Amino acid sequence: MAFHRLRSTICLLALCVTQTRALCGPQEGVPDTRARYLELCARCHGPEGAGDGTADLPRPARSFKDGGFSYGNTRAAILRTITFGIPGTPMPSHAGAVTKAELAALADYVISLGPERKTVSVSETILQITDRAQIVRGFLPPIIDGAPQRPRGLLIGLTSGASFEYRADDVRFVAVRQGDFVQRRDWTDRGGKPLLPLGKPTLVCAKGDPGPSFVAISESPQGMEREPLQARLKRTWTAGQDAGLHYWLQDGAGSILAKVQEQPQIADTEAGAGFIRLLRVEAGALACSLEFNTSYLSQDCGNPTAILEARSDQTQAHVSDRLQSDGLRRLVVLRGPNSMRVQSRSLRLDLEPGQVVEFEVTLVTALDANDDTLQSLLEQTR
Amino acid sequence: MSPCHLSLVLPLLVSSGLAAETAPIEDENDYYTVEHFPVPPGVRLEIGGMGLLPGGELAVSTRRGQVWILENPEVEDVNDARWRLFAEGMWEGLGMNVVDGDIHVVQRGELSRLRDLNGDGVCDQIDTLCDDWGLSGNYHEFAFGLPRDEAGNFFVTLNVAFFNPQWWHGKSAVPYRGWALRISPDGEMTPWAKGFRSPCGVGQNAQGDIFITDNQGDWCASSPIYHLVKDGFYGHPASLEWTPEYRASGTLASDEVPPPAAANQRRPAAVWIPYEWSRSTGNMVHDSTDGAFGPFADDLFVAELTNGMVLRCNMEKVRGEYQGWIQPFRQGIGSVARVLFSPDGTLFCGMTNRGWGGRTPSDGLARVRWTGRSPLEIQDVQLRQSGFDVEFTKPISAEVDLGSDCASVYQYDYNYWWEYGSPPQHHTVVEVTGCVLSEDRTHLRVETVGLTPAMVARVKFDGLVGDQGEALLHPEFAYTINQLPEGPITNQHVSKIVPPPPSKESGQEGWLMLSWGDPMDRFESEGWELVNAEIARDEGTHFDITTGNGALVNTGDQPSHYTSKNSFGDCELHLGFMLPEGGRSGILLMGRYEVALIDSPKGNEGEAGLCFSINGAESWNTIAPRFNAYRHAGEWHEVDLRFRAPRLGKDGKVSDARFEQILVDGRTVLEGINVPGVSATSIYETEVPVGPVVLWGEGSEVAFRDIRVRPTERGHPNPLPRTGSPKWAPVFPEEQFDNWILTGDAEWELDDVTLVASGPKGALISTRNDYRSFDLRARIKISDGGQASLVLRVQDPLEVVEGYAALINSTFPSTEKTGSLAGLKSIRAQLIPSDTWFNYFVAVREVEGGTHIRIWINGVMLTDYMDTESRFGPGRIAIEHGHAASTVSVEALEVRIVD
Repeated sequence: MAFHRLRSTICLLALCVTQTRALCGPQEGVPDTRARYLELCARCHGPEGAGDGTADLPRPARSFKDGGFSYGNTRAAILRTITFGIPGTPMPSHAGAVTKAELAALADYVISLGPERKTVSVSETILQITDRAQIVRGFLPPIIDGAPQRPRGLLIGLTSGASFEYRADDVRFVAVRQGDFVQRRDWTDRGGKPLLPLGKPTLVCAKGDPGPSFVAISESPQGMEREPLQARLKRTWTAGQDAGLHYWLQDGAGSILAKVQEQPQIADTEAGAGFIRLLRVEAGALACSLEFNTSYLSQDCGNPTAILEARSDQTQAHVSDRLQSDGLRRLVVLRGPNSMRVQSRSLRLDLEPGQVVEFEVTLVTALDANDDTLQSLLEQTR
Repeated sequence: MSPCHLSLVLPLLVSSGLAAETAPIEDENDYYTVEHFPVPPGVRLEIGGMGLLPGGELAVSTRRGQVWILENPEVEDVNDARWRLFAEGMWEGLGMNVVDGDIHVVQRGELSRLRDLNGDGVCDQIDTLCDDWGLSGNYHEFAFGLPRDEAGNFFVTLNVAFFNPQWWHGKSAVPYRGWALRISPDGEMTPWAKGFRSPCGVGQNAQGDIFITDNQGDWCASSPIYHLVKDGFYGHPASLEWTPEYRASGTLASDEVPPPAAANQRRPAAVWIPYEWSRSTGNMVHDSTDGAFGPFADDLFVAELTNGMVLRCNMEKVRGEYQGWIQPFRQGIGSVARVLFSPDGTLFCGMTNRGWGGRTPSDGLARVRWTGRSPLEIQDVQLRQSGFDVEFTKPISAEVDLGSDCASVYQYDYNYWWEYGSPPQHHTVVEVTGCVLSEDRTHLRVETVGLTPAMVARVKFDGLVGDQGEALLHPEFAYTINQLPEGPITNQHVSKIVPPPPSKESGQEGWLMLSWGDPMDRFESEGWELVNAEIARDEGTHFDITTGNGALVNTGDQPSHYTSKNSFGDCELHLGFMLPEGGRSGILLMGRYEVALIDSPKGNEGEAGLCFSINGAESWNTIAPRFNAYRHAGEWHEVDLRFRAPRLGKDGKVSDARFEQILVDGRTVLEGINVPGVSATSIYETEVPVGPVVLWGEGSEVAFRDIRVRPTERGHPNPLPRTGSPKWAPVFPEEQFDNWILTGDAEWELDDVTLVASGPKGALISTRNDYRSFDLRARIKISDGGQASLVLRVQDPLEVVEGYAALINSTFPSTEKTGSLAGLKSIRAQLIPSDTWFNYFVAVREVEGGTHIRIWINGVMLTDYMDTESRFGPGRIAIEHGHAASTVSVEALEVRIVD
């Protein structure tokens, strides 16, 4: 048997962002459903659902006309209530009494007795970016199959159509997308649903489950020790077409090692398009050594085929060229002060108390690259 | 129903309709107008928070993550309202405050300060002041707020979650669900009080004390208003998870049995709102308008969604604690979730019903204003030892005949239990012995006999009119009498602890039926048979054995012990046993800690000791049961054990093994017994974390039946994997329904959480096709006779669903039951009853030498198979539904990539 995609046979209850008035309203109701309603429901809820049935109850039954329901008024929630009943109340389970099709028809019928529902159209839930950057907080779905979902997330959308996905609870850089911004499904139905980012992922860090951007390092007799740091979101901002975030790096005891400001940007270079993370790190009251993880820039690639470096009195720049599996070139530019140590999968920052360091990491995808391309990138990235 | 019972119920029914007990809406309209503000086209203001800006503008935060500013809330004609969008992109704003001109909003995940730095009227900076609380991803995890105390601390409340299993029990899966938090101006969070369910409203009275409304449901009998007190416990047990005591003890509060704190720490509700007045309560605000809103200075006004109205409430301190009265105030507004006063005397009403249903309009902004005419209303109520002093806004007409029938009073209380809400209980009529009006005719003393503390009293007036003949606008109130002014203080609550109602489920969830199906499959044994046994008539020291399947008996010459193939640590164990005369056997938990089974009938106990003793060792003594629960040789006894394994740390034992409870035929014979070491009869010398169940087979003949084990963790049956945990991802993510790959003709249905397959055979297959080394988990239920499988590494093309099939089968006639790996490893025991939820966990690893597949059911590894041929390479994951008479239900099917 050939496989096929049978969308129509699936009850997409949870997906329904458009709630329309049920087809079987009180007037045009399916006779059988009306009869079933009168038989099973009307004794308590009344013939027209006003909560005025004749049954002796310890407290009044719900009035469907008022539209209030104990566990939510979505079709799925009502279906569940009809099926299982409500413990501790006279509302019984009807699971054995009627067929599943009848249960579904009853749910629609009960909904139709209530006040007319406002519909939520898909376009109403889509947040477009026009002339200024936008930041959205919410529940992030897995960015790819097998990646985790995060109840706290952050999307930064720029006017260029690029959007940047961060985890908000530990400020990890998850992905870059290109395209439309986001569908706000979080407030549909009863609320709490994941956002639906609309852009196509162009970079997914560590299969959607990235490690921290910064770790603290210290030398000990046993060698180099790395302490994971807790990144705590402190601020998001937008200014015209720009946007960014501030976060603190805290050690296990809660001490603030450094304060970080990060701004994602688009990189539009002669070699190709990409993105930049601009970072400003301000050390706390104590000297510290930090590593900034750059492995996401080289994931799924081979070793560099070329590396160029440039230094001035104050700053350095470092460009590498890698071949992606799809044949494109991945060009990575690291730019920062001379004190920054460029390592194979990280940047090391040794900071004095209160010292401020600014650096940037750029990833450009190019069709082709040669020394001239790399040289020009060294000079102009942004 | 007996006639007596009927007479108790009827008065309640008569008074329960709103129309019957309150004046018509047009009368309210004479005194208080309601106007609805138009909003910009296409906008839905589902208001969750409101605040006044220094310039008089009104800011509202919405469920849809926006903040709108109404620039002219005092405008004469609401049609001239001017709105401006201030902020966008937040995750629900269900509480707001304005501090020094800055809008503060509590979002689902954080307390935020919003600022417009460049003065263009749009927010461009959001500061995260605090996000120190958990989100599991469940829809019900709303966060509410946001009043401040004198020191500037914010107060935020957090809902419990509702998810499967047993979605009707509210859960606190992540920190501080079900708590109120105090957050200092610089963002430091202090867990302040606990025991809330859905505390949608947080507000303050005129004295600045904080009050919280909750919503009826489990452990919440109706809609209460609580006075917030630090470290208070308000009744919902799920939140106790995050107290130091519960964290340290390693236990979770029961979902069904009231916690000890319910009896000795629970804070009473200052006001219980009758169910027919409030079914979904929002926030409250006190009238701070200096009379601009009419004659109700300092009264609390309470938002109500479902009935679309505002209630009015006032409290007094009786025996040092707040308690008070409430009544409807203004109906016909809409789904009011938030109320806020402006100094000019406007009561703003923000509406949303957050998908819950409520009166229309279900969103938007309304304002309620006083027309300047004073209604005849109850001004205030004070409780007396034998009645009430009721003050009115205007004199009662001298013409009114004030017989004792001008007021009727009844009282009731509630059940405190896990079920949804509580009907009023113990409904009793309180005799009114007289009504006495003060000289100025504004105060009425209602004299009663029989008012009882820990009850709600409902008082209704009949025939009271003012000097102009105007009727008392709202003639009924409900007063929550936690304490009477005099007499002994009661420790009872209005919401009283009652025995837990029966569980809603069969009680079989989480168990492994080790002896169902093929009872030899899950045990190592020699010399044991599945037979029918009864004590021999002529020789009572032996059994008569016949063909059958009623008993497992050690009939062989030199029978072994009956030893489970699986090891268990913390667990519950059930079995039935029968001994012949002089018989001796035992149950060894972990093969080490013995509950002795000895034929020791009353009056003939013998020297071997009492049945159900915990067998000691050289270094510690045998512990005898509290009483002899053993009956007679030849009789079946049912034993239930709750057992906790020893805890072992790096430096040795941290805590002893412990028998939490031993029940025989439903009666507790021992409870809370620590066992310092292994029993003298132990098979092993050392103590370890887990071990097999060993049934002693070398002593005498013994018969066992219905052996079942429920592995537990922290006192609860195998905890469910939580959706949304880091590293785990759904196999069928919601937003990819469009891409579901289906083969065959099965019907697939999905509600919020449960995927159900029925109809002819068919499969649902993942889009991802390169699963190689991974863990897979799900909650599953299969119907009687049903058959299904989780197919791992499904190979393309998909004409036939081929891969490693982990089977789901309780009663389908096949020797491959749940936990089997089809064709490769058979589990013959029917461990899981049909129509019972259980947890499936599969680990697939590509290792040197082949493909390693392990299957756990309810936390116990049943199948451990190395496929040296590596039959199936990386592939898809599928659920295959077996046949037309089968129904399989699957929840939380999640995968964790390992390589």
